[in-house]
Formats: sequence, C-alpha cells, structure tokens
Amino acid sequence: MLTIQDLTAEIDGTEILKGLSLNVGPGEVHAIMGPNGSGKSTLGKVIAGLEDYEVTGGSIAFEGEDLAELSVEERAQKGIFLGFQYPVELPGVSNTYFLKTALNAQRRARGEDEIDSFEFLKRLNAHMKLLEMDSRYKKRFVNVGFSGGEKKRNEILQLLMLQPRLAILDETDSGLDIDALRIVAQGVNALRGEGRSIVLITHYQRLLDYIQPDVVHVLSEGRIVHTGEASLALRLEDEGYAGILGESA
Amino acid sequence: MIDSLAKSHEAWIAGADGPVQDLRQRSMEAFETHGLPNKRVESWKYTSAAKLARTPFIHDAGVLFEALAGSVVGSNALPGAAAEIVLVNGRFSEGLSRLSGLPSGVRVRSMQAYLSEQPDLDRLETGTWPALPNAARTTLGPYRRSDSQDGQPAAKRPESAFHLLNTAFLGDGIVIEVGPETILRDPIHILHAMVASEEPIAAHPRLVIDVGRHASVCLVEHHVGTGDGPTFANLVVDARVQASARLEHHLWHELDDTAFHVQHSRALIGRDAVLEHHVAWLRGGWGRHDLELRFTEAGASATCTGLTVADGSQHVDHHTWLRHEAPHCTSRETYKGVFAGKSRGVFNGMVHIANEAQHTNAALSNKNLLLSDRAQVQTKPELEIHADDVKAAHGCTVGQLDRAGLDYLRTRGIARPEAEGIMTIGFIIDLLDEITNERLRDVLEDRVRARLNELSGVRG
Repeated sequence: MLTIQDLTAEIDGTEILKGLSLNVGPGEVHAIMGPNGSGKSTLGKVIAGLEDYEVTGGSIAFEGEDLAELSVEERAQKGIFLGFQYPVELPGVSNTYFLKTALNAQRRARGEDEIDSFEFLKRLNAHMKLLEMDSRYKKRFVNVGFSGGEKKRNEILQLLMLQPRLAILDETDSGLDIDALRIVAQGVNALRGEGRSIVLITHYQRLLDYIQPDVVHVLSEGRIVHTGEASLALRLEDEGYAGILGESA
Repeated sequence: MIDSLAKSHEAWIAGADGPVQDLRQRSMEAFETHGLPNKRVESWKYTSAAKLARTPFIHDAGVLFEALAGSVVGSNALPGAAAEIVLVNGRFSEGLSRLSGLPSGVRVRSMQAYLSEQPDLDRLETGTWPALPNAARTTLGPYRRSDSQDGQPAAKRPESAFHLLNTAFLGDGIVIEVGPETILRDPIHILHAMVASEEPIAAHPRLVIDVGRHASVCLVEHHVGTGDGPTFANLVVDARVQASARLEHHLWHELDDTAFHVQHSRALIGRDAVLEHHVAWLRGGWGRHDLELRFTEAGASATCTGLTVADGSQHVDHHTWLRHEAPHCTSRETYKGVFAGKSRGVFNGMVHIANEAQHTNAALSNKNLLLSDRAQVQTKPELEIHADDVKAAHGCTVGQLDRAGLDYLRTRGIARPEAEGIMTIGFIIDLLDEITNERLRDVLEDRVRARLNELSGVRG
C-alpha cells in the first residue's frame, strides 16, 4: 500500500527526515511513536504532499505509484487522507458544503458521478451519529469556534465520509478527554478493514488502548529506529523513549 | 469631457426657458467653474478622474437605444419583481418598462413627467425635503466631510462637481412615491441599461424615492451595459424614509469594463425608520459611489453592506458618510472587497456622531482580500464623535487567502482553483447573509458566484 524508502526531507534548509523507510501493507494499522521533534508530523505532511517541506531524497510509493510528481490534491484524490494535528478553521465555509465538495472532487477525479444528495445526507447522518456529533455541526463553518475535541471529531467525520485507502492521523488523540478519545477511536475502527490502511502518529500509548495496531514504529531524529508488535507501545509506556532509544543506540 | 459636455449642454437647452432651464444653466456654469476633482482633494486622493476627463463624452440628447437595449433588458429581468422600470442611457423607457403590477399606494413617474408637472426644484437642486415632523427643514448636502462645527452638520454645500453636472443635465430618471402604510413585498426592479455607441455617451439620471410613514418597499437598482465603447453614468439618488417606514435598497453593478460610473446616493432616515442599503459592485470599469445617510430622528437605523469584486484594471471607490444627528440611532456598516488582477479599491467610511446623538450605536468594518500581487486597496475608516454616551466601533483589514486553509482543502482532494473559490466565497458570504430578503439574497449569490468563477485567480 505505502512504501517509503530512504526518505529525506527538509523545511527551510533544516533536515527533518533523515533516511526513513516504512512499509504499510493493505489493511494494516501502524502506529508511529516518538519523542517531540523526532519528525512524526513532518512524515505525515510529506506523505500528503504539503509544499512547506522539500523532499531531498528517497521515494514514497502509494499502491505502486511514485508520489513525487503528484500535488496535494492529486494524492488526496488517489485516496490518501491526512488527519491534522491542528485542524484549520475555514470561516464562511459550512461543514456540509465542505464535505460534499471534497467528496465530489474526489469522485470526479476518479471518473465517478457526483454523489446523490439524498445518499450523501444519509451517510453524513449515520457518521455523525456514530461520532455523537450534534446535527448543528452540519451548518457550522468548518472548525470555526470548535473546541479541540470537536475539531478532532470533525477530522474523523471527514475520514469516514471520504473513505480513503490510506489514513494518516497526526496526533488525533491529543487534546481529547477520555470520552472523546473513545468516540474518535470508534470512528477510526469503523474504517478498518477492506484493505484500508491506517497510520497513527501519536506521542502517547493511550490511543492504542482503543485502536489496536498491527505494527508499532519508534521514530527518532528522522529515522525509524525500532519496529515491533503492539507490545512495543506498552514497553514505551513503561520505559519511556529514553529507555527504548538507549537500547537501539 | 468638460468641453464636449458643455457643447452638448448648450445644444440641449437651447431655445427653451423657465425655472428648470435656469437651474440647468446655473448648475452647468457652477460645474465648469468647479471643474472635475483632482487628486489634491482629500476625498479623491486615490481615485483619478483623468481618464474620464480625457474621454469626449456627449449627452445622449434623446436618441433612445431601446432596440439595442432589448436583449440586455430581457436577460436581466428580475423574477418576481412587482415592477420593472427600465432606463436606457438614463432615460425612462416606457416600452421596456412594466408598471402594471404596482398597488395604488405606489406612484412611479419618470423624472421627465415630474419636471413637466410641479417639480420641487429646490429639492432637486439641494436635496432639501419638506420638514419631517419634529425636525427642522432638512437638507442633504453633496458629499463633504469635516465641515461640521460643534457637531452641527453643515447646511447646503452644493459643491460636488459630479452632483452639479447631474443637475445641469436634469431631464430624466424616476420618481417613486410610496404612500403611508403601503407595504410592497416584491421588489421594484430599476434596470439602468447603458448602451454604447460610436460616440461616448453620458447619462445623468436622477432618482427620487419617498417612502411614507409605516410604508415598506424594496428597490433593486441594477446597472448593466451593452455594446462597445465607453459610457458614463452619473447618478444622484435621493431617498427619504419617513417615520416607521422601511426602505430596502439594493444596488447591483454589472457594467462593462469600459464603463465609467459615478453615483451619489443619499437618504434621510426618520423616526424609528429602517434603511437597508446593499451595494454589490461586481463588474465595471471605473466607479465611484458616495453613500450619505442622515439619521435625523430618534430610533432611526441602517444596515449597509458593500461587496466589491474587481479584476483586470477595474477601479472601485466607496465613500460612505453616516451622519448621526439624533439620539438612539443604530448603524451597522460592513464593506468587503475581493481584488484580483491589477484592480484597485478605495474605501473611506466616515461615521459622524453629533453631540445630540446620544446612545448612538455605530459599527463600521471594511475587509479586503487581495487575490493578486498587483491588486491594491486603500482603506480608511473614520469616526468623528461629539456625543459622550455612544457605542462606536470601526476596523479595517487587507489580507490574502490563508495558505493553511488552502492546504487543508487540497488535502481533501479539492484542486487549488476550486479551493481558492471556496475560501473567497467564505470570505464574503456573511455579507450576503445580512440581506433579509431571501429571494434577492439567492439571486445575488448566484451572480456573485458566477463573477468569482471568472476571476483571474491568485496568481493573476
């Protein structure tokens, strides 16, 4: 599904990713953990194609296709979704309009018909119910005046509406209370399977209590230094990054 | 332009006399003495009339371009309008207009007809209306600021060049009188069609709107153009909203890029009366709009919005002057502009609160979005407060599309041009929501979206 080889990337001349390799197979859930500043968020943004970062070496392939020449929107149209750590507010753009426009843009790009309005609303209502979102969020401007938890829930709503092939969720658990965490995890779990892959970028282990990963990676200084099973996350919780990183060094 | 118009004027008024002729003659002389404003005049600092001055405009002395206007009139008819009033190059066209649907309380005449009856020339010259109850004889002066002393508004100041020019060519336009307690829900559509010909055509229509007490009316003034070549429309619109009346006045600009447009819109707002004034300047060449509102009695209120969408070498200048002269009046003014290409925008909003205007609540805001590195905006909100117990706020911004927002939309699969469009609509959508008439709001939204879709874009 996703194959990253020897990836190096920089922002404003500072190298952040320093030869990162990662393989995510279809239907797999990978967790990427690591201390602050290790390059976790950068990895997500580079996969999504955001232009703040310059890829200086290595390659990213998605379903066998090299992404280097593809724009942000083309990557999204191919089924890559980035859930933002800090979702952006869009004044004047209603949530429903945003979701429908995004969904139809992706469908058009794939040569599909635009979604029927009735079908769209049916799906929207079902997903909002799952995420325990009040229907007033349909009309509200995207993320404007939302609390941190509401913004994260709104990211998951987009995830469920867009049904990507690969979801990269950047610190989706940060700023969530325990109830919100459970709801968000419920949303992510609803997407699992059918060959859809998920990359969870997280600082803490607690999200992984709710979303069981197949593989856990530890990222440090722009490289993956440790890869293991779900139990690795528990070890991290016990020993801290210092313990694990000390061992790998 | 001055020479060619003076010649037109001479020919036009030759051989007739009477008080109207005297007024025209007097105004032309005053205009010629005054000359066009130049950039040394503070209120014209950022708007140059040089190109206008160089174009040899002539007065359309009676040739009606009705046949040519027909198509543009048909395609711009407003669905659901109570009446369609059509002016072609400033002249009322009976053939293209439809007035039959109006209730008996609403009287619509051409200015030409009004002038042939018993015109109140003093009103036409100075904007003086018969006294409102509880108010002194009230005069609307042409646009001028900082001419007040101790919070007292200045009286008669007949010195705006364009205003004088309009009076010099006083000949046609529309007079609308809405009788007391007449409620007209459907809008009256006033379509101004400017038809270009081989020679540059100038038009100077005058509109007078009088809304009686407890009456309510909605007007949509709509400026469109057709044909090749420059046109120049120079309008004066005088409105009075009497006690407890409501006037909803829309002004839509969809002129050609060779059009020059100057308009001075004035209104007196009486006791507990409500004015909604919404300008949407979507297309055109060079334009200047002066809005002057006087809150003459307690409880008057106004909501004003202005939307500018400019591209190419369009130039749009909004000057507003809100004159709070009575206590307990409210004004909310929001102007927004979207500028692409190498377009230019000017906004100057003055809110004047006289010392007797206690408990005024006034808010003024101007926000601008630049879609191109070559577009420019000059914006200046001004407050002049003489009363000590008021609420007044003002602010202005100039910015570009938020990069983070664009990226966010793109990560959801929305291509850059569409993302820019969504964010631009998002920037102005709250202005449309200020329009209480939902049908008009929707018609306008369609026109705004169509216009935004043609813009040359961020990189323009």
